[in-house]
Amino acid sequence: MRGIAGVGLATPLGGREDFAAAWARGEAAAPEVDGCSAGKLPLRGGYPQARALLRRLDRTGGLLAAAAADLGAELGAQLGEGTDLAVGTDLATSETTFEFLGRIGTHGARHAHPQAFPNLVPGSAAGQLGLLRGWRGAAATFVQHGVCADEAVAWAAGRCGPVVAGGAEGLGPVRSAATARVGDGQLRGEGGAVVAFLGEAEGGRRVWCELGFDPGGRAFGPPSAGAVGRVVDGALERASVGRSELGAIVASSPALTETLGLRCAATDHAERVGVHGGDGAFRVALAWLLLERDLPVNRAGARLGGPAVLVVGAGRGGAIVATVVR
Amino acid sequence: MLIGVAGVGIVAPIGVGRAAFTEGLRRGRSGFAPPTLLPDDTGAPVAEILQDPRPALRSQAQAVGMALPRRHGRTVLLAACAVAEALHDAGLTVGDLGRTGLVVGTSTAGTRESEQRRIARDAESYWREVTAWELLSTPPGATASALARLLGLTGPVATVSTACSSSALTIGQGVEWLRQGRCDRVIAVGADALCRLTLVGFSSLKLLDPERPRPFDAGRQGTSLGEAAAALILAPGHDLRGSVRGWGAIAEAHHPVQPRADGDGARRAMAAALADAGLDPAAVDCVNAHATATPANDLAEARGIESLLPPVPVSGSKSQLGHSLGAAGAVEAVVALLALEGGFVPPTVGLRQLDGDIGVDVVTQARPFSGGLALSNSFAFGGNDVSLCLAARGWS
Repeated sequence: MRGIAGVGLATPLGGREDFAAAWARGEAAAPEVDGCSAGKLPLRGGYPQARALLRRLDRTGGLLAAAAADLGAELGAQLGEGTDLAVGTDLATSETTFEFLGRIGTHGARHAHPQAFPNLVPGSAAGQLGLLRGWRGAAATFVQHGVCADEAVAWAAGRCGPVVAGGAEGLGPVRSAATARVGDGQLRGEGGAVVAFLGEAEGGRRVWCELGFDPGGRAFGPPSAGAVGRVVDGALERASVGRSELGAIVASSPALTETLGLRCAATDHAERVGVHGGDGAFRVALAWLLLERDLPVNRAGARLGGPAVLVVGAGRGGAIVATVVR
Repeated sequence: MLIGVAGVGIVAPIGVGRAAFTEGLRRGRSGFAPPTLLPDDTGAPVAEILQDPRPALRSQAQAVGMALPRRHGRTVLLAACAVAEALHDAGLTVGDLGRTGLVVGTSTAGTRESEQRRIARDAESYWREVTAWELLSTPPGATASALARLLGLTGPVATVSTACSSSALTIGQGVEWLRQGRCDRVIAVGADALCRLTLVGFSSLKLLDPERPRPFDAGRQGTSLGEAAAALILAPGHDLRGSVRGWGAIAEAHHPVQPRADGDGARRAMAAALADAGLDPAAVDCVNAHATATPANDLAEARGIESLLPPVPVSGSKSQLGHSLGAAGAVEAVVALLALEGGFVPPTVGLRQLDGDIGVDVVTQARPFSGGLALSNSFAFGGNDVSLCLAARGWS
C-alpha cells in the first residue's frame, strides 16, 4: 500500500501549518454567515507567475491550486512532470454553469461566452492544475456525490509512481441551495486539500480504501448505518486493523460516527470548518495530521487512542468510501 | 489477468442495440439533421436518438430483471437501456450482481432536464421554483447513483467526468478495480444526452461544422454533437466480446482546449496503453481515432499515430455518430470491439479529400479486416487524453 508523503490545505483556518496550529488551539472558522455557509475564505495565491491563469479559474479550481501550492513548497521537487493527478469535486462547475445558462436566457445563445464554456467541465480544475504544475501523468476527476475526493484518494493509492489526490469546492448559491434543500443540517464550508504519494518504496502513513454502495435508502439520502459498517469492515480487513486499534474517526457526517458504534474519538471538523462535496481529501489529510503531529482529535481535547485513523465518506445517493490511514 | 468484455450494450443514433448498431456502422449510416428534440440555437446539425430506446430493449431488460426508468432524465434512460442489453449479452441477471462494481463516465448528466428552467427564468424566479430533486439529479454523479439503485448494487460505484475522455477512463478504472480484486466484475458505462448547454458552448468556441463532421478531411470545420450510451461488462477471463489489454491516460499540461500540435499527447496516451498491455506498437492492427473533425485535433492525433505506430488503418466513427462527449469513450470502445468481432474497419463517412498534412491510412468505406488488436482514442478539454488497447476474442 502507498504511503502519504505530505498534504496541502486551503481551509477557512488557513494552509496546512496555520490549520494545524489553529486546530491544536481549538479554533473554529468564521461563524455561520447565511444559514448554510462558513463564510468565504481568502484565496491564497502562491503562483505569482501564473496570475492570469488563476484569474480564469473558478473558485473550486483556485482552491485546489492553493492547496497544491501549500504542498508544493515541501514536495515540489519530488513531484515531477510524470506526476499523476486525481481530483474529486461534486458540484464543481455548477456556479459557472448556472451563470452560463442564465446568459443564454438573457442575451441569447449567440452571446454565450466562449472562454467560460471549457471551465464548465468538472475536469477543468484538474486540467488547469496540471497545466500550472506541469504534471503530465494520468489525470482523473471523480464526481460521485459526497465521496468524490475519497474516490480520488482511492484511485491514487492504487497507482505506482508519484501521484497527487485532491478535492475542492467553493461556496456559491447553487451549492448552498442544493445542500440546504436536502436539509442535512450540516454547516457548509469550502476549501481544497491535496494528498501526495511518492514511489511505492517510500515511507509515510499507509492508506487502505474500500468502496461500496447502499441501494436501499432514499434517492438523495445518506446510506444506512449497516451499509456503511459493511464498507468500514472491508477497509479494516484490507488494512489488517482491528476496531480496537482505531485512534480516531474522521467522518463526513457526525451522525455516521454515532451509528457506527466505534469507541474511538471523532473529529469535530464539520462544525469547525464546515463540509463540502470535495472534502474527502481534506478528511484524509486531517487523519494524516492527527497521526503525524499528535494533534488533539477534537475541541474536547480527546487524544488519539490507537495507531490508525478511520476516514469515512458517505454521499447523498448511496456511495460509501472508508479509508484507513496508519 | 485477462480483463475480458463479457457483454456490451449500445444505444446510439445509428442503431439501438448491438445488432442494429453494428449494421449501421458497417453500412456507414449516419443521421445528422437539425435538432428536433431541442431548440435549434446554433444552426448546426446534431445526431439525435429519435426513437424511444425502451421498446427495442424491453425484452432484454425483462430477462435480466431490470426495470427501465420512467422518472429519471434522458442520460439515465439511455444508460439504463445500454446496461440492460450488456447484462443480457453477458448472460447475467440483476440477481447475479453481487461483488459488481459500476463506474460511469458522463459530462452532461441531468443538464438537459434542468437547463430549460434556468434559461427561461431570471435568477430570482429560478431559486423560487427549483426543487431539491432538480438540483441534485443534475450533477454527473447522479447518473451512477440512479443506475446502482436500479441494479441493487452494493459494490464500488464511481463517476468519472473528464469531458470527452470520461468513459474511456471508466474502462481504465474498471480494469484497475478488477486487478485490485475490489470486485468480480465491473459495469463500465458512458452516457450523455444532448443538451443546449453543450450545443451552445461548442458553438461559442466555433467548433461545430455547419454541415456534418468530416474527420481528416482537408475542408473539415468542426464536429457535430450527438448523444449515446454504451455499457461494457468487464470480467476476468470472460472475453465473449473481446478484451481490454491495457489502458493509458496522460495530461498534456499544454492548453485548456487545444492539443499539442506535434501530437505528443496522443502519442503518449497510446504508448501508455500499449505499455500497460505489455505490447509493442507493431502489434497494433487498427486505430479507432478520437477524430472530432476539428482542424487542430485531427492533425495532432494523426501526427501522434504516425510517430508511434506502423501504417495501420484508421477510422473516425464520429463521422457517423457525432460526438457524444462523456459517452464517446465507451461508445467507441464498443465500436472497436464490434468491428474486430465482425472483421471490418468502420468507415470514416463524409471524407472527400484527405488533408494533405495527414499521412495516416484513413478508411472511407467499411474495409474487410482480419486483425485482432485495436487502439481506441479519447481526448478531452484540459488535455486529458486516454487510449484503450482492445483485442478480439481469443486474440494472443
